[in-house]
Amino acid sequence: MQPAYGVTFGVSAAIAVLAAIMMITRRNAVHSAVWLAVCFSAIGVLYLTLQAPFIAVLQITIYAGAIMVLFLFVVMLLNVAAPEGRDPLRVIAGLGIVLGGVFTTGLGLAFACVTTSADDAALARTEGTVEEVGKVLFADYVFAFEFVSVLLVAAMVGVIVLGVRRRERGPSGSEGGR
Amino acid sequence: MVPTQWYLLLSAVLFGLGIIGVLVRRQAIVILMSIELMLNGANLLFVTMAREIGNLSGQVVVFFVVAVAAAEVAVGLSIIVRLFDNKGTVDVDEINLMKW
Repeated sequence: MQPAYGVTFGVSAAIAVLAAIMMITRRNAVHSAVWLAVCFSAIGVLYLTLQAPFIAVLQITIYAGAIMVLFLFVVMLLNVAAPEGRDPLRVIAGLGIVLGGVFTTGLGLAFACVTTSADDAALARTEGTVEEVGKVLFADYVFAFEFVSVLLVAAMVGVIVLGVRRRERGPSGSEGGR
Repeated sequence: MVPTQWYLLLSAVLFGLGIIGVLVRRQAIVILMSIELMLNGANLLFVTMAREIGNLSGQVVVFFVVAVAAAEVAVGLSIIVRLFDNKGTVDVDEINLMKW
C-alpha cells in the first residue's frame, strides 16, 4: 500500500498545484473556472489518501459540482469572458506576486518546523467515514449544525433580495414599485 | 502512509497561490475563485491534522467550512451580478463608488 499512496499523492498534488497556477494566470474567466474545477477534483482525491472519504465526496459534489456550476453560470450570464485589458500598474502586480511568494515561503518554513510524532499505525487509525464523522457531528457539534441551516436560509433570502430587479426609472414605467 | 509534512507544504502552496490570485487579478469573479482556493488550502490543513492527532473534529470543521463557503459564493456572486447591472463591468479597478 505504501508506494500506491505515495504515487497517488504525488500525481494529485502536481495536478492541484498546476491547475491552481493555470487558474490564476488564464485571462479568460471561463478557463479559470474550469481549471479551478480540476484543482478541486484533485484535492478530493487527496482527501481519499487522508482516509477522509466523507470529506472527499463533499468536495466533489459541493465544490467541484455545485459551486463551480454557479461560477460558470455567472461567468457566462455576465459575458465577462473577454480578457482583462493591459494592466497599467504592472509594478503592483509584480509586488503582489512577490508578497504572495514571501507569505508562502514563511508559511512553508513554519510548517516544516511542525514535529510529527504519529507513526503509520496511528495515522491509519482514524477513518473519516460518514458514520464516524456523523457521530462526532451530531454529538459534539449538533448546535453548530442546526445553526448552519439558519445561515443557509439567511444566504438564500439575501440572494433573492439582491436578485430582484427594481425598475423605478424604467422606460415603460409599468413595472415600477415591485 | 504519506508523511504529514508533505500535505502541510501542499496546503501552504495552495493558500499562497490563492493569495497571489487575489492580489494580482482584477476580475471580481476570479478574485472570488482565488478565495475559494485559499479556503481549500485551509481545509486540506484541517483534514491533515485530523489524521495526525487522530481526532475527527477537524473533518467536522471542514464540513462547516464547506457550508459557509457555499453561502458565501451564492451571496458574493449575486453581489457581482448586481454590480455588473449597475456599472457594466466587474473590473475591481473600475468599481470605486464608495471611494470619497
